[in-house]
Amino acid sequence: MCGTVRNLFVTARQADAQPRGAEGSGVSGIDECLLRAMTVPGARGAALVEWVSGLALGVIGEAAAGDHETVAAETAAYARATAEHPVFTAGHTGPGPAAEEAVVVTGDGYHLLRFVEAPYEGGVFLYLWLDRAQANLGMALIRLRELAEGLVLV
Amino acid sequence: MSAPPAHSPMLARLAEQRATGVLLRDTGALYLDGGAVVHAESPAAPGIEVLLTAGGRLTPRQWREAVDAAGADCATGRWLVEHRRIAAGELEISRLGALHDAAYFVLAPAAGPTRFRHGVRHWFGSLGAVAVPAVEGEALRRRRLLETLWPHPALDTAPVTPLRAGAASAGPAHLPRGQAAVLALADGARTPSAIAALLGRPAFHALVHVRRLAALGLVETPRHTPGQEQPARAPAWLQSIGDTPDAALLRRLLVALERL
Repeated sequence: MCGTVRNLFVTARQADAQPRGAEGSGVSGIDECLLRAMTVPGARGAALVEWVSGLALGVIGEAAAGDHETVAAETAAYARATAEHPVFTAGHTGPGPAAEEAVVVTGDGYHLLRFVEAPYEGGVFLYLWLDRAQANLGMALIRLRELAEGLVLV
Repeated sequence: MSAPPAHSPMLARLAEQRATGVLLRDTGALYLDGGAVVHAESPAAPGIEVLLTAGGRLTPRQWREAVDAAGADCATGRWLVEHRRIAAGELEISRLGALHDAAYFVLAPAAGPTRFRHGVRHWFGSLGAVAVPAVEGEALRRRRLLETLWPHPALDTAPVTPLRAGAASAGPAHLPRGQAAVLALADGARTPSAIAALLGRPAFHALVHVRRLAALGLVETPRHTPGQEQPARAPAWLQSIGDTPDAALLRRLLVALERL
């Protein structure tokens, strides 16, 4: 119980330390983006992860397996396989990965990955885990795209 | 494989004391503000300015403009966001990416003695801090990830030598773009850090790609020689970063004395 309270305190302090969006113009920092991801109906957990290194840039909500660090590392391995897959990358010459998003449907959940147009190659993806009974897949994908764009939109 | 303890007693103490200043090691520097890490730099890892300009996100001129305008106030990052040169999310992604990239080298097990200079702040500014255990944990996770890919730490600092024979016979038809870019710059002289600087990508990404290329037999795996695993040494000027406030104080004293 004590640990939970302390975690909440730390999270709140870090949120305070984040830069405010420029005059509320829809500019989204990482924490703000993840907080919004959790407002998607059925959302259980979300993360922003660098896919070459597996670095968790930000996490929120529940972890689908083990802890958040494990989820970040394992989804990064999946994202990398998708981004580098010979079939998906065939004929792709533009910047960034050829794949834009990946959807995995399980018995009780949706796992959505959205690649973010990151400042450097081998960048990041947004991961959203949803409760299948409560979520609307089509709507969740649209919201995820908006959130990913918000991260890099000036 | 040996997994050296990541925890530095000195760093833990500084975090507990909520210290502000810079931690200096042979492999780079870790900047603390209120006991949390706000910035890291290492000669082995490209700085945030390299990540942002090499990828074309900012022009070098835009970068200099921001440093000129806000560097003296330690608010370069905030200036870039407020003047709409870059989105807040992008800045945070690059800043955290560069921080953990450099911290990996600063916290290397064989990085030599550690010193701390109180009160020093970094000119980039302190947007969002990362707790010390999180930075140490990430460095350890990275070390373990490299071990699972191809357990040859000497590859991290040795010049990257392509094996043409391997490329011709056993090379896969499809080489992922990141690995191909590293292989294209491997000339038997450049280290992974040098290649990362040329590509404008995090140094750790180059380490990952080189381990994978070596596992595929496309890059030579150096023979294990103890002592070769030392990460890149910082230039002498890095050790004097913290001297600036002292120098300013001495100058003021000198001026005061001359007036007597």
